[in-house]
Amino acid sequence: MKSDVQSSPSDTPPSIILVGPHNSGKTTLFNGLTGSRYKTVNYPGSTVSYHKGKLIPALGSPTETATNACGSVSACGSVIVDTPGIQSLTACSLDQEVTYRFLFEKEVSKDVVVVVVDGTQLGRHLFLAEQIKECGFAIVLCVTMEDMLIEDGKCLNTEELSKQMKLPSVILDARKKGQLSRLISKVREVEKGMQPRRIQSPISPEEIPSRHQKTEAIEKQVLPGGFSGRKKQFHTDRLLLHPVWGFLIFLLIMFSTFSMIFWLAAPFMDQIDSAFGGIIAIAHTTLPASWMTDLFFDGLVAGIGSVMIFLPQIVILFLIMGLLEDTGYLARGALLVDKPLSLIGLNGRSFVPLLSGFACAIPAILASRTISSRWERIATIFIIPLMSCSARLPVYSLLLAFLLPREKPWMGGLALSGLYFLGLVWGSVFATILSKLPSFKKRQSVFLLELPAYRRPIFRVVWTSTLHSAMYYLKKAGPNIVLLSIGLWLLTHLPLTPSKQGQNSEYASVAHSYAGTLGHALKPVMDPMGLDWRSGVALIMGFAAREVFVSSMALLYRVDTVDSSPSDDAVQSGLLKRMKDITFENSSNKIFTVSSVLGLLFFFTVALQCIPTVITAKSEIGSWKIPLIQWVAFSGTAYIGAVILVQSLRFLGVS
Amino acid sequence: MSLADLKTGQSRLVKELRGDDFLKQQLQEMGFVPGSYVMVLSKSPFHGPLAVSVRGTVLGLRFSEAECVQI
Repeated sequence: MKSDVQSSPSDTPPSIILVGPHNSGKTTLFNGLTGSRYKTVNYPGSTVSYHKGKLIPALGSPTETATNACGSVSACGSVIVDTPGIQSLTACSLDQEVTYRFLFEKEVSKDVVVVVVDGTQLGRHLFLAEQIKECGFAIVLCVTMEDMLIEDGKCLNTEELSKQMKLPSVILDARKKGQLSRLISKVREVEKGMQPRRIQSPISPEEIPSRHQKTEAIEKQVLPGGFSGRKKQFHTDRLLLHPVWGFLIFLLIMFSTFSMIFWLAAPFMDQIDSAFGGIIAIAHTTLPASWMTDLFFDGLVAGIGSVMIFLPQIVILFLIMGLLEDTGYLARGALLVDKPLSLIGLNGRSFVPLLSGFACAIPAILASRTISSRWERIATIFIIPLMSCSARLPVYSLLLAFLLPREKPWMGGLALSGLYFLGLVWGSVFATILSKLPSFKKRQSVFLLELPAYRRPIFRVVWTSTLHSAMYYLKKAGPNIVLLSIGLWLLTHLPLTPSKQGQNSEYASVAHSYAGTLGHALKPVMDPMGLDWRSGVALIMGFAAREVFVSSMALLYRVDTVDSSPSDDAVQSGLLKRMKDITFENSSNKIFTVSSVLGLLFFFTVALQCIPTVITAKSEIGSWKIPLIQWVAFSGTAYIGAVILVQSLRFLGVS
Repeated sequence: MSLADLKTGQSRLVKELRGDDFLKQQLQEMGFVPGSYVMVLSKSPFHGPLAVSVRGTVLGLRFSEAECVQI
């Protein structure tokens, strides 16, 4: 718990470190101070990250006389750090630990700590500021949400606050850029009077009640009457957290969120898909045919395409979640689902990661960092891949189109919901099994969550953080997926065979490639699923990204896409026709029947085919053990389940 | 009597905290200290979590955690 750091004078200008509770406006403030240009840095020796940026030049000068914007050395290029939100100085979750370690392990004794507190919850947040102050840091107290106080007809006496807390303090609305210079001028004052400091451990638990009394008394003096806006919102909480209405509204909001993710993203995804398809098609018609062209376009460009295609859904998901979070609803959602989730060994805080899992497992795994109990976090990461991510959609739509009549689209919708539900059920089963293991049983599970005041979100602010999350996804998942696509291209094209001119050349080369050899070797494994070696190869290709299954099927079953348009629909309808006729080699038995397609659907719902997910899970958990168990358990049960399904259906006489 | 026994809309003063030290410290830091005024805003069915107003903040906490707060 302790680490005393003696400061030493140094030439590097002091950094500005933002510390504060969740929802205090800390990140908004950070975006304003850095002009939203920052990078995400991993804390040394851990996977948890914090944000680091530079103060924008316009804020370099404390006063309005911006002519001398870079007056002192430290004025320009001050480094600003945004730490994960903390509720107290007792580190309990992984991301809170980063803030804790940042304060007590790094040499922040020469930096300025800006404690960001929410003006609408001043009493409780001042307690955190008091706790941090007593550790000996150089502090500027920044009270946010001035707009909410003004709306409430209240005025905070900052002079009195500074005097009582013995801290320079400032009040502002973090979303108004013009007000940020107030904060910077206070920071500069503190920098000028910087003394060597000694950092101490936080106050002992016995002292907590007395500090609460102290800060409560201060709140009464500086903000007479307190923030009453909160009390006006109590009836909203009573409705949104109501045992019946609360849950109905929750289901309605979740339903609309999902509909929006799918319907809003669909046109963008089609655009991206046909753009990449178009580039590849043009390349093949204009450039001389060689394996270099093939590798570059079919391997690399197609790989980049398969990363980009999920971007619309991920952006829309993050956008909606950002808006829901800023209104304050997401915390209520977590509260509502805590009970059902705790029954299967999870936590209300697992809610947001699981929700993200429906777009893509990778950002979902990253979102699990807010779960305080390590075991609950592992259990959440464990079942995230069972949430039907968007990569499964193209596969689902192909296979459901095979099974269901085209003129009744509602049946497709129903079947699709069924598949999502199957994933949830399977996830609950695995989570329940995990929670019965001895090491999970010992876990210390706490659910203590601050429910922020309801507030109107500002689109610009949410959009900025959405773009950052999307970029983070691209950087994290992108290279893996691209490398795997290139690897799989090589597998399907090596060893190089003398290319036979004509339509069959590509097919022939796949049959004799390493992937083809592997596919033939897999024949005994594929047989019980009612499939042949070609679908086996397509399944292997799906390990780069699930939706690659569709294009591989088209390639392996030689679908004529010569009908000029490279659009998805053309491939799908051609492939559908082909799937209805294709028979096993040397036999007249059809490969794709009701039973084998149902088996495939089951396989895709349950199997963990996404290698980038396994890699992300490994880096987040810190060991290969859990991700490998996950991989074996999901892919194993997917295979066994599919075989049982296919064989029992055939036994019952279903073709 | 504990916080978990209150009905929606009822309020009381906190008397003391029970339970293990780790939880006690977290509850204290969140504002559940003797003398704090608490009000139950909502209770989820089947002993699910409660929403409680304390020290100008609304906190969500589990039923079992609310049982540690004596009133």
